[in-house]
Amino acid sequence: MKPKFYDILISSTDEVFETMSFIDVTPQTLIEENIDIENVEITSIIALGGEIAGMLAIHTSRAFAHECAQFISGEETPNLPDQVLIDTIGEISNMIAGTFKRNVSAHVDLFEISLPSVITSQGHTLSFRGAKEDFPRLLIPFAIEEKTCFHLELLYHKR
Amino acid sequence: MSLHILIVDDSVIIRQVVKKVIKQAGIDAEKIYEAADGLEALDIIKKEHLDLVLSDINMPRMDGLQMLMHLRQIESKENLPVIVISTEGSEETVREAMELGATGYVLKPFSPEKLVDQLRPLGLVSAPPPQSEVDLSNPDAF
Repeated sequence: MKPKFYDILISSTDEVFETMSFIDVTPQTLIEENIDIENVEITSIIALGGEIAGMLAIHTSRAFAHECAQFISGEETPNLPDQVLIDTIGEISNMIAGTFKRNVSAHVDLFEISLPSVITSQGHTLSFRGAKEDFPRLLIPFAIEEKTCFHLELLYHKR
Repeated sequence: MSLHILIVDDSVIIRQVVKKVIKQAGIDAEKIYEAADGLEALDIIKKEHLDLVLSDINMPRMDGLQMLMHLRQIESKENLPVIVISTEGSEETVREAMELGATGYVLKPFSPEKLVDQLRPLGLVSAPPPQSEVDLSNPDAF
């Protein structure tokens, strides 16, 4: 059985990529076991407050951020400064959170979303360990032609 | 008619997309100003003659709704068209924006057509562009 919010999260993500970038990203199998995700270079976090309290995050690479920036802007640029890559992933996470908020409004009372906070590095490792029952975590890899390009994470307080 | 247009969004990439949609829609923009938040936008609004403002809501320092409220208090800007472009889609937020004097409301993510549809009633779009001309996936279109 799919966890709560799974379908809405997937459709919200699809809507953003289809409308803004035309990049065809496909959800892969939900990760439920303990896992380390290595070589993450950009993490964008949006805080969720209210009926759903928690966070939505995108974990990805500079290469994927670069691809998104090119598709969204419609300009082929071989080198983009980090600031543009940060801005692009921050805006994508903002649009996914906003779309998720709209799409989930039929099931959940109003909640607020923050502006994105973006962390960059030359490759950080994210360790996901034993989500607690009161704090469900949805960790979904997305791929382009079966190659994982980002992980989408929803972590919230089950009230 | 050469227009002066202000785009307000804290995202550089979104400002870039909006600029390109404006050009592709055949809008005769003589000058396009950019601001990253409501405070920057108000500075430009007070100093410059503008024909159109396209603004996000969720921005640091001053959000788009506060900016709109201040803008409408400036006597000469009472009728300046302001199109809101935002991820915020709750009835409450849309109603608040319209009550504060927004001319139109576009939800993010948006297609170029959605934005152009909001601009057309203002008489700013010279011709309905064919779909292919506003295809953001095609770098040559720009």
